[in-house]
Amino acid sequence: MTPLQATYYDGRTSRAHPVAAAVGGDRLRLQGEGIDLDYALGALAVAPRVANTPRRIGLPDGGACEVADNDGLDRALAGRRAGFAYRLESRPALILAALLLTIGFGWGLIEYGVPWAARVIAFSLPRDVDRELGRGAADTLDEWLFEAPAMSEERFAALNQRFGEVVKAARVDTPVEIRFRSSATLGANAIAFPSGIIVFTDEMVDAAANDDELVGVLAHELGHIHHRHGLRAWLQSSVTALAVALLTGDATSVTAFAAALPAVLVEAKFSREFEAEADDYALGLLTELEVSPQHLADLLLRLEGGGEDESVLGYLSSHPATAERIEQLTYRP
Amino acid sequence: MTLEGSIGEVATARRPIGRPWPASVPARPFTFSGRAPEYFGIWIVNILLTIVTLGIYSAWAKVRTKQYFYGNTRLDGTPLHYLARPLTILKGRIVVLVAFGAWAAISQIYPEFDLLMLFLVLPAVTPWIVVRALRFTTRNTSWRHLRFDFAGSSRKAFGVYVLLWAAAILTLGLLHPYGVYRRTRYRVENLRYGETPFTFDAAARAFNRAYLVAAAIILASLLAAAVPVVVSGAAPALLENTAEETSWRLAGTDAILFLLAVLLLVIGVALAFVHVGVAVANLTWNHTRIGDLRFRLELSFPRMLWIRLSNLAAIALSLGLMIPWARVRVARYQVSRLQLIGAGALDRFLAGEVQRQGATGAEMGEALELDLGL
Repeated sequence: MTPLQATYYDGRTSRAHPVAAAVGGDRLRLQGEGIDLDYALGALAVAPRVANTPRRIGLPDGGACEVADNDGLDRALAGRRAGFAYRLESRPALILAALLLTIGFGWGLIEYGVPWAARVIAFSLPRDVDRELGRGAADTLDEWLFEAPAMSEERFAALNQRFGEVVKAARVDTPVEIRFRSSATLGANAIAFPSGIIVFTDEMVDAAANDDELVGVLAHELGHIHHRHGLRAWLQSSVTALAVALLTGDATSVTAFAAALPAVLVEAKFSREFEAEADDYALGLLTELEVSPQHLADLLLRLEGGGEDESVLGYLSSHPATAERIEQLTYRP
Repeated sequence: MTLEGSIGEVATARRPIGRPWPASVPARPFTFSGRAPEYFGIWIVNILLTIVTLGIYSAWAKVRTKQYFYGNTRLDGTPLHYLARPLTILKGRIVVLVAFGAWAAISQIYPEFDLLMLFLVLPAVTPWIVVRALRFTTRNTSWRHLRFDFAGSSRKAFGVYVLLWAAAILTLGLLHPYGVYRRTRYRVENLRYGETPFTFDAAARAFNRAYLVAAAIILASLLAAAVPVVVSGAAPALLENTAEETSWRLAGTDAILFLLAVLLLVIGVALAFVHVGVAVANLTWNHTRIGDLRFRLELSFPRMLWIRLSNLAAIALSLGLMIPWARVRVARYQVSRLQLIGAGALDRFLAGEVQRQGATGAEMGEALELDLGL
């Protein structure tokens, strides 16, 4: 083979020696002005090819040889497999395939992989984690968004009594505490915190035609706690942030997943699946309590159509596909 | 002062502001030969394989990306090489991941842990991490098969990274430019090419000036942003409440004016950031010497601003597909404005002690190098 143009460095000084590199038998021979070196191919450390950047060959005696002609070197070292990554990166057809596969995998990972991983991790953690998670979240929101409720004493006592019975029947592993608050910003709403606190707003209580409807909402919120949606949502957003950090190659943004839990909860990025899970749980619980799920459906319908839910952060804005949910709740085979 | 004369005079003379080096002093340009289509292939395969391997390939991806940019950066016809081994980087990343994961998990349960980490553990550990990261990057960079090195001590790193950071916070930012100057000096003066150290001869005032200009830009944008706020009459409300609460109460034209104010502020901050980036980069390189050679970097603020803004637009419009193009563009501009000034020969540098000892170069001393993307 015709020798390749190369540069030899002895690793002791920064002097560059132009040489001719010839591969023959299984030896590499470097010849230049005052240089005649010979090495076994097996003793060389040939760097993997990256596009067309000059290839570095580490020599066993501490020197190195740089070859600019990558194609020539690949041909000369034909016995050794050309780099897998280089082959993918250099063929337009494969690049296009990589692009499409990336989009496909990326979507699949975010849509299915991350929720699955979050679920597995969440349920392998003890319930104590949920209780501790965002222990301060409810109190923080109390400071910023909530005010004292404007309910009559009797109503308050009656509701508390009824809710207490429901919670006992639910047998959720986390101890549940129900709070009533008033919030102009949140409108008619009910929020379940992983720590076991469930907050009902005045407006939600007023929107209900009867207590059974509120029991329906409570059952749904208990479903969120039972299925540990708060913890799973936090895990999902953390894993997504981590994935983004890895892909964009910015290791320092890993700290970004110490995200504020209250914000996550109030934003209520609960996915459709979380909602369906909570609704399923509610269905089961309501059946056990002999309360018709129709009541919950009625309340949802009223909230959607009646303009009760004006606020952007109202109950329905955080629970997508109301019509679908109503259908599921009232389906009788 | 005359710039003609012996090498020694050239070495110590400062270039008079605004006047170019005379033609008699040789200038060797740096060149960048990377191209966007080439890098796109590397970039997309990196992402695909990283996803498929759930992140493990990210170490190989980093090595290939760095080698692409290093290998296409040449001085006097010779490129840089990146010598890090992917497995070492992978180990480092796993360590970082576990550490951060533990921190996040523990601090969700015990919020007090955050304080412990922030005020006790982090200040103690940061200097050590910084030194190891700098050593890792420098020792894995070579030109003409001589490796660079970093000789800084953790003790010094504590001073410039922890103490000066604290000082900057305590003085509400007034000492930040000085901190940047000291950290730059620490990094440059402890940098070695082979066994030859670099020297840094900038003064702190130049850094102060750069940040002063940035502060002026932000001040100007604050004043500009105040105009729509006053016009909308929302000023009293703004002064009483937080910005968030205010935005929920505004409606119609008031909201538009408020958004305009925020936009002006964002523009001001962006301009300030780009200015600082350009000024500090120029300052750093223009005052760095090695032996009797010095560097010259002439990034232009308007050009850099244009590049950053048009990159942003291109990336947004292409949903991210133009990221490789943007990166190559920035690298090409920055490298093209860099030169090595001086008549000294480039072949008389000697390898450092660590390289002399390690024949194959496989083990460079530290068993577990940490690479943190710093």
